[in-house]
Amino acid sequence: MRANPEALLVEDDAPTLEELRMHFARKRFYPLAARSATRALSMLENNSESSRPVLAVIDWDLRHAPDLSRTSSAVLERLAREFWECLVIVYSQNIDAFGVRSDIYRAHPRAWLHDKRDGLQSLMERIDRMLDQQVGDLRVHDGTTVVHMPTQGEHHHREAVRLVVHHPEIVTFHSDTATKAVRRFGDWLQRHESMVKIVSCGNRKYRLAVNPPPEPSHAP
Amino acid sequence: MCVPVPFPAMRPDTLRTVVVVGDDGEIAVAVREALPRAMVMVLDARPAEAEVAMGVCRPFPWAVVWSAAGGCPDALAVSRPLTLFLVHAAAAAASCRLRSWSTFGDLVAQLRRMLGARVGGMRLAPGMGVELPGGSVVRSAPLQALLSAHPAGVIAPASRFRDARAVLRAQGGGWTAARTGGAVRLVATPAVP
Repeated sequence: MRANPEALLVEDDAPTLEELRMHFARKRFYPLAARSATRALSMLENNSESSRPVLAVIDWDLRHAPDLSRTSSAVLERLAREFWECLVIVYSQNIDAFGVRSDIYRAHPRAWLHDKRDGLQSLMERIDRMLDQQVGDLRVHDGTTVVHMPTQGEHHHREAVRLVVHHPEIVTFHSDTATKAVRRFGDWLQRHESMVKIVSCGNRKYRLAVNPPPEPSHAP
Repeated sequence: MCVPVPFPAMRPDTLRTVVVVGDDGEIAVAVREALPRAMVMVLDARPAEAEVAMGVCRPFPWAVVWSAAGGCPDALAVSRPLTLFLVHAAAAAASCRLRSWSTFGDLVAQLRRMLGARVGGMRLAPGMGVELPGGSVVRSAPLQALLSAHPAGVIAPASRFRDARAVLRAQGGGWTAARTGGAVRLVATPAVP
């Protein structure tokens, strides 16, 4: 079963947003792009059952947004409360300022921070590094496909991608459909005799664990 | 006029959590950046938000770091006996339930030691629970507290550790939770001849 992952992109500068949108579309993500926090919140609210972004890239300072009634902090709080399994990157020109870091962490305790002064290219490279993860004999290709490297078998489900990009952290899944997808991923790992296995931590929480490869047997 | 920021309505969660209570977020930011994020989540709260912040941690926060000038109310520690309280030395009340820290380096060293504790092959698993020698993970929060607080132990009623004892018995690794010297600790069980 295929399910392309969504990426929530919040940026008040239209050309930058378009560049981000194109970047994720090229990687076969379904981009949910918003120029304001209000629009981002409405996207999350309207599609909370069907659209659960694997990744959110959020500009902290949305002062040029067309609608200033909500702030990026509100989006982060919503993500922290209802989209816990989403990987969140917040970028700002003032990321070094203690007050900004504190406000971001209070809104979303697990957000990753990025310095906007390093440029958009640096942000996209960092996202690619975070998404194209390798765990044991698994690799995420282009942020959307899990590849079992020894067999080149591919698994195309966003919940599988979510588990790999979050490794070694625990991921909480939001629905029975998502946990079924996780179990199917577990079956796929077993069929491919992967060194990676899925560990259930109860309450729809899962993480990946890497088994060391079996030691070669020595003839007596 | 200073308008207090409301504590974000967090989703109650069962991940291992440190609640850092401070007059500003300085210590919380530094603690968050000093600890491995796969092992622990840091919540930043002001003194007035401490109860709410602790309330979102299920079943209870793994640790509370108190850096606020006002001092940690002993009642908070008494009401959460399985949470490890680390209170700045300048504000530490004379309570055996509270551990004190003097410098930020000391605080981080204590937290890292607690996170990296190993007893009888058991260690804290990423995110939550305890990884047993065979590689399986148990979610017992009391066992997690005992392991982190080893060898000092935890001052709490022994009845709170029933499930931890059951896990240790089932695992058969030669450890149990027992009250010695006023605290419940992990102790080695005598070998059966």
